[in-house]
Amino acid sequence: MSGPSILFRDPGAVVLETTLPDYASDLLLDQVIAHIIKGADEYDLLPYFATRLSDVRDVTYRQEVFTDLEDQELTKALVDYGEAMHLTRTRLAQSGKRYFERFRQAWVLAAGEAYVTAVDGLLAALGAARLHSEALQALRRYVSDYATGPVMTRLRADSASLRARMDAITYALRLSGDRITVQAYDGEPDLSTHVLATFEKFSRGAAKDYRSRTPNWPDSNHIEAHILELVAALHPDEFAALERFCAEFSDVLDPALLALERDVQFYLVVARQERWLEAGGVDFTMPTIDDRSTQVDVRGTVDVALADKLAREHRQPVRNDVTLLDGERIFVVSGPNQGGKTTFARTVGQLFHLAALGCRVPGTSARLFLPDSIHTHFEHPEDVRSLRGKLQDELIRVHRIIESSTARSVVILNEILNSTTLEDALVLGTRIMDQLIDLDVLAVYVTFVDELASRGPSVVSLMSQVEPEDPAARTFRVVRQPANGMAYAAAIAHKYRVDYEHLSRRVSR
Amino acid sequence: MTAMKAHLMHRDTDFDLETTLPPQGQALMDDLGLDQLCTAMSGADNEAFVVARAALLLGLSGPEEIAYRQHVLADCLTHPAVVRELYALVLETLARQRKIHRGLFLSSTSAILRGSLESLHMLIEMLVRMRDLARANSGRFRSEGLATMFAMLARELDDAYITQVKADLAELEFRRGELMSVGLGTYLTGVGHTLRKPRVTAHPMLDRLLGTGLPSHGFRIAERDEAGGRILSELKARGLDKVANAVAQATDNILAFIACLRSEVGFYVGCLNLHDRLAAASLPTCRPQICPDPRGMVWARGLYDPGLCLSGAPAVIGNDIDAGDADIVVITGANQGGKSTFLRALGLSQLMAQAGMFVAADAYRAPVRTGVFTHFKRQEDASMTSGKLDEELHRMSEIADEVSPGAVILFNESFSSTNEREGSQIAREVIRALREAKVRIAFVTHQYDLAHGLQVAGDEHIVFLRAARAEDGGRPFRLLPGEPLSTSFGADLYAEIFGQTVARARADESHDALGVP
Repeated sequence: MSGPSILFRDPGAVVLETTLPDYASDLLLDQVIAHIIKGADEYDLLPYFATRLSDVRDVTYRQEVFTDLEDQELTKALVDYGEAMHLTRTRLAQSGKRYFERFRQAWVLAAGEAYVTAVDGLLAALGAARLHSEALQALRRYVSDYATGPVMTRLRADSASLRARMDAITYALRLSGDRITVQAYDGEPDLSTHVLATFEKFSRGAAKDYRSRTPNWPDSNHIEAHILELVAALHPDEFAALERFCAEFSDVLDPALLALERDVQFYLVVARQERWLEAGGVDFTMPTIDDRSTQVDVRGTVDVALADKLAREHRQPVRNDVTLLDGERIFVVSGPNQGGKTTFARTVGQLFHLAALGCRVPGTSARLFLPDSIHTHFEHPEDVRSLRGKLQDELIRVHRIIESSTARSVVILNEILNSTTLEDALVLGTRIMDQLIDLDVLAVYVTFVDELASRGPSVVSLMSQVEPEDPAARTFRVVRQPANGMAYAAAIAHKYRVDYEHLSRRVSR
Repeated sequence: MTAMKAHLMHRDTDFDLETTLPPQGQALMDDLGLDQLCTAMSGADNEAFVVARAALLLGLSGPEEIAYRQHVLADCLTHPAVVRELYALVLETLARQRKIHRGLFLSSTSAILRGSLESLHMLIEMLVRMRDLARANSGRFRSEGLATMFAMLARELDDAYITQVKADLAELEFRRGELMSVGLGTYLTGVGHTLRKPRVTAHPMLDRLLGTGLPSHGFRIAERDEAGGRILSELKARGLDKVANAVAQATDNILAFIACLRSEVGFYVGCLNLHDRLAAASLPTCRPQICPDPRGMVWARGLYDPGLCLSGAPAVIGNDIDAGDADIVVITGANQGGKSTFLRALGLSQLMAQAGMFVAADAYRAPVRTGVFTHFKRQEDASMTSGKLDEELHRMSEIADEVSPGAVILFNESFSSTNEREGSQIAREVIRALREAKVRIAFVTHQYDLAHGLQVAGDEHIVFLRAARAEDGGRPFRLLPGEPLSTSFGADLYAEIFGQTVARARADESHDALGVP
């Protein structure tokens, strides 16, 4: 019996990428994704983050699940489900490694209990939640049938009664020299209570705890086994019941529910990352995906890689808008360094990738489309080849990008041509810009060449900003503004109150 | 809860060394020379130093609480030998404890139990010696604090109790093996091992032979089974866990009581030490009067800075101050004329009074303050850099975070890192705001603009003191009531150091030069 997938409308048609796309490192998506899936290594989630969805219906399928998971109870229940399934598998594996038969049976009982917890917890949570997503509704139908079926009914009842009987057993152990004696416990008083009472008059409330925390895990040794045999002799009925339980309960784990354990991790790790960044002051919004248009309008968004870094330092990233009005297609970003130009360029690329995974994106509102391809070229200053060689490589790379782009692509060029003369940068930049305009591609072009910003009606000029009081501080604010290479000088003048406004006021006093 | 309390510092609670020291504490240490005072109280004993510092920085807030300590201190000054003997017993206990390896870190349960039992035997012996000292001196102490504590030692550690403790310690030797109860865990290995106190049966051997006890089955661990031997020890350790925990906690608790005695008795021994030092220099001390009316500033006779004596100054001169109705004292006058020393004396005496100590004066009267703060110029030379003014204003802002009505702030040449006009303007605003908020102020300044401005206002709640200058230019280090003069006496210092005079305007001439009538 095969169950539904909560990740794909049609699991059979999916071809998963096994590595991240080329642009991931320029956009720092490699770091972001590594952080998202950290701690979930055994589930091998990378392919889910490497594969962009290209059909808006597939995106909607996941967006609905994310929306249902705004119910914190439900999210918590899925976390619990994953942990309980993990525990089930671990206990079964451990059972196989036990040398003594009674201990092997003990681990099977414990595994059965974990499985009951997993299935019943999942059913209860799905039953209690108001589900709107196609995926989770299908899952609920499946789990409901399974949990009320004969296998689970019997397992649930047997494991509970057996555990209750084991818990009721208390025996007494007498240690004397090298002799160990097992007998019934006869209600003798706790010696530590007696000692505490004697010294009560010195008690000062909270005290250090000297008890050792030895785990029970490795204790299934031959002495414990011998003791357990003697205990079993004192309680033969209980241990006979355990034997019967193990004979019946073997190999009952449902394959669909095992697969579900992995797939819920995708949603959980994304949700965990969102909560973490939200605590750091980032808003997340479910993007509207329109595959008939190529409109882009994202408000109050941030670079997730930067936000992730700042959140560790308890700082908040600055928000920017990524908005192209009718007919606008290309952002030209100029302005002082350290002002957030690269950050802005990364942000745009990240938005398209995240939206195509079916995830929320940073921002207060977002309208995006599913691009047929994403291309980036970022200058790497550490590249030490000859300037000529570097320029050549750069042009080859940009040429390839333009060749393989369409009006539904996203192209991000960051600080290219920076190493050439101004003359070259102007001439070559203008050529590249004209081609981008002709392609009608959505592009971000970060440059120090002001002239490129007014190349045509589809070009929008953005400028990075500096703090007037402290020009050395990074603001990461990027706003619509005609390109103006003198902004930095004005800021420094402002700091020392010798800019126009200050000077005229001071002089006039 | 505990019956064993020292309660020599407070009637109802222990003296808590964990209490966070106030944020202004470090400034007080630096500005008032508290280090030196605490060192005189504690000698080379670092822990006693910490106690003295905490007592001084965490002053008491009510006359009742202060009187409680003053009475204990009076007892100590009357019977110093008994108090020092008790303290010696406390220190001996701690010294013996240090030699016992309690093995608290990552050690086995049996090591914890063994070490704790050894400590308990020693502690009980030392407690009995303290009890005997208390018994021998029971009638001689009048103060509530000491009388109650001595009575408590005699009552709680009576012979019957000591006998019972010794019997319990003997049972913990487990000469007839251990009995424990065990449950079954998730994986059916033993859990919740709990050591049990075996029932006393009349004939245990007979029970076993006749099978009248409970049915039991057992086995022996073979001699060559080393792994089995280790597991047996581990089982034993699990059973012992809770008992070892109980014994270790009991040991901790008694040690905590000893630690309390160490701090609380130690504080008074520190007072005795300081008292002896000052008495050896023939310097007076007095029990401060705490006046209930919080409005006044301070009234004192022969008030001096004990730090001067402790640092070996040959002659220490006391000053009188009549500021019982004032809310601000402004101190002006010659450089090295004793202004800073006087400010320190004011601060130290208030801290000592509120710690329940004696003060360094012939007589002293002041109300309780909600806090003592210092704002001292950090370096002697005042170069006019904005960084220094930033720093001064930053410190002022930190004080403003903490200060409340009824506090006192001691300013020493504050806001002088900028020019006089700006500095005095800032200071005026600060003073005005603080006075309106009922914060008392002592302000040492050489800024004539500031001091003179306050004088012209003709405010009856301001007391002006001036560092006097002897006729021959030598300094008597005595402050007298007096209005601010327009110049300081740097020229005198110059003359003293360089052996030659500099041309200098007379005080009244410089008044004219500044356009002041």
